[in-house]
Amino acid sequence: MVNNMEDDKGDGKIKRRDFLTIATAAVGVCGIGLTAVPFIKAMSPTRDVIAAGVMDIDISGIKEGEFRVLMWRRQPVFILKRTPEMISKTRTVDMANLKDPATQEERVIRPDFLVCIGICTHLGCIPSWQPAQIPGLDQPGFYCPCHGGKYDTLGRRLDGPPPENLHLLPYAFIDEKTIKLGAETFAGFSEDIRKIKDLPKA
Amino acid sequence: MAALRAWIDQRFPLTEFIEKHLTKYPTPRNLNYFWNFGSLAGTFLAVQILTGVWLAMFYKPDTTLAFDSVQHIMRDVNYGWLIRYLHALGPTGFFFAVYIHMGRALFYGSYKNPRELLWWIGLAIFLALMAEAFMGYLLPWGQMSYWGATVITNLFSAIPYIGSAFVVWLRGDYSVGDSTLGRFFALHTTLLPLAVIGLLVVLHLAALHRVGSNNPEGIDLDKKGPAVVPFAPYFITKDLWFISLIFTGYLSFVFFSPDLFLEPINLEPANSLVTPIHMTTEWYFLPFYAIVKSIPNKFAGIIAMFGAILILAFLPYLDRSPIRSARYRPLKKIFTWLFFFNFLALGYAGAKLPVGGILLMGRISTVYYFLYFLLLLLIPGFEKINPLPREEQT
Amino acid sequence: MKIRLPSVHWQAIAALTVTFLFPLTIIAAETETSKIDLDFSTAAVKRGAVVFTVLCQNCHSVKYLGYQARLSAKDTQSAFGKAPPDLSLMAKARGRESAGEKYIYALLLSYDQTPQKNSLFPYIAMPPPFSQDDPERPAKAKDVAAFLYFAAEPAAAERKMLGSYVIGYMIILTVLLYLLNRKTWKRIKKKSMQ
Repeated sequence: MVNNMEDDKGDGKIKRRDFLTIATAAVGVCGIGLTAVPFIKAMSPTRDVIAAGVMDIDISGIKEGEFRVLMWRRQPVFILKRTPEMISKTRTVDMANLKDPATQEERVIRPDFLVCIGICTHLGCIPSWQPAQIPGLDQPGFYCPCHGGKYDTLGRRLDGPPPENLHLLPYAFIDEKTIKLGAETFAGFSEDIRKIKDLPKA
Repeated sequence: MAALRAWIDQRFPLTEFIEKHLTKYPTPRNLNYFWNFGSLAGTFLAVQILTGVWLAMFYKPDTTLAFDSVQHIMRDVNYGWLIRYLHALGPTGFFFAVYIHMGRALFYGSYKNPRELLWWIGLAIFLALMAEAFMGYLLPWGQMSYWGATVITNLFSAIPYIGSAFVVWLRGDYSVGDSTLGRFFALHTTLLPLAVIGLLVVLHLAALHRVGSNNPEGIDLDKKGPAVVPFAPYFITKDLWFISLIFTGYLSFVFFSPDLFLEPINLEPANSLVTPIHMTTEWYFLPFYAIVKSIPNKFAGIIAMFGAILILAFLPYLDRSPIRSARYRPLKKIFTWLFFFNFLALGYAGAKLPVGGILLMGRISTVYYFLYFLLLLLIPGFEKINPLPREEQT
Repeated sequence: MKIRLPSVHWQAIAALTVTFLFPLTIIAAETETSKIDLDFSTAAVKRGAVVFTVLCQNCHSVKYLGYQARLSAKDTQSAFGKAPPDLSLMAKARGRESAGEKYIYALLLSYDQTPQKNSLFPYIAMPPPFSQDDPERPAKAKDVAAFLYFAAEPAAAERKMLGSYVIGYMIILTVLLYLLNRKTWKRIKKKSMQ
């Protein structure tokens, strides 16, 4: 076999050795990259955390005008059974006056149920439910005690420092008694979704 | 890139260090594959640390949570099963490499002057490694974890006067429990890895580089020893391909038969009221376990077990022959090969109940284990040395 | 006394062969080889899950898959003398590889001779799970064993699938690195022969 080891011999020989080095290095680097994948993925949310993102809520006992808070992915979720008065009141709101305009159809699946994330879009406090009237306004809704943000019974921002309506999360009515809340990879408040049509399927 | 390197080199001995200790480091040309096991051991160390850190993200060192947290890793953590199996089978690869690495030292006289300190640092690494593996095994909190820790910590009660109190202090409780688990976790994840890597391996390499590698001929480089070549690329490519070969084997176990290295009984949560019928330990401890079981007296058994490791430290002074490599010492060659097979026999005896033929074999093997060192002391007096090579070896 | 020994390369080969053969022989000797024909298919696992919920879940939990036992451990302990263990890992706790699954299968069918006591494992407190005249006993036992084998390690299928790719890659990498090493060393070996 011809000596192919001298550095200054013919081109073909060097190319072959370099090719082997380059090929090996390429395969090796791919291997290192692929090895990193399980370690990176291992730091992502575990399967039980993701599974816990989907919850079934029993709404059979909820009465008209009743308000409930529950924890979903460590975030408060508001469920409000809206009375006919609340429904008609929110219909009378002028879109032009809303900082974050949205119609009732854009905010809820069923007119008589508000399901949203109970975190104020200003600085993250939990607004408090005002069944009779929000301070300074002639309607029930949510009033945030931290800086005075005000929301109607569709969770729309009416007054105060909050820039947006209360954020939404995926939900679906399984039957008359159950709402399925959340989706496997839906993070919650940080997804910044305020219209039903933008939500992923529950 | 070159400018960046120059900037660093002005302020930090980067290129100087890399050239002196890695790329241009002079290495005997005639090293055989038994010299690959040091870097192989180092690679397994890296795997254990990487997988260990990741496991520590999810493991809970509490007796009521530990077992479940391991199942959480196996079932819920993405690729948790893979990280767990890599970490559980890693010690097998690690000890495999370390035992052959030490066997190389025994055969080729790598413990002799001027490498005594290198040898002792290596023994310290070996001891730290055994402690690390022992503590790690308690963490899954299975039946064998609990009872293995109970039996081994109980051995210390045989120390006269202070034995019982020492065991209580070691465990932090009157039996293996939460205190024990907590401290074993802390030591296993912090002190021992720091001590093993940070200190001892660095010292080991520093001692090696001060005197240079031994070689299969056992002849010093500055006498009629072998030629040297720079470490790069020759031994980088040699190390890499061999590590890749061994890792192919290691990974085939990880992916296709991890159960071979997991004791079935350890898949039952620890139960302090029920002792497993067959007490056993991981394969790498079996030879020492056999030595303990061979000796009827508990205290003498512990002395023998630790003595078996301690006696290795005296090797530089027990073996007084001026010739390093067993290649040129036919008697040492035979006795050393016998020692290796004897070690395997001890391992086999360690896995079985110490009765009848097994007990006899264990005892004979224990005797030969210690006899070997006496033989090393005696044979220079009457062995015939094979003529050493006159020319440079190629 | 001069002793003729084979060259050190043969010694090395002998050493490595023994080092690998030795443990593999031990493992082979200890491996369970009874001729029980097992089913590992997904269909068997699904059927086994149904059999489990109908026949076993009264007393046994498989907690890591979310199955809770219907009766409390205290009640079953007072009824039979021992609390029924959780079965999530039983298929692995009774043997390596498929040996545990075979163990479970054999146990379930060993109530034949003395109906109220298990002939293979007389010290266990479990009463017979199947009625004596159920013709589907072996099939049900096989399915439950498959289900419990799955329960012990749900990731097993993914592990084996990934394993094929990983080992394939490692073989390619090892060959490439070996060739690279040989090429690298040929340089010196050539020089030294001049």
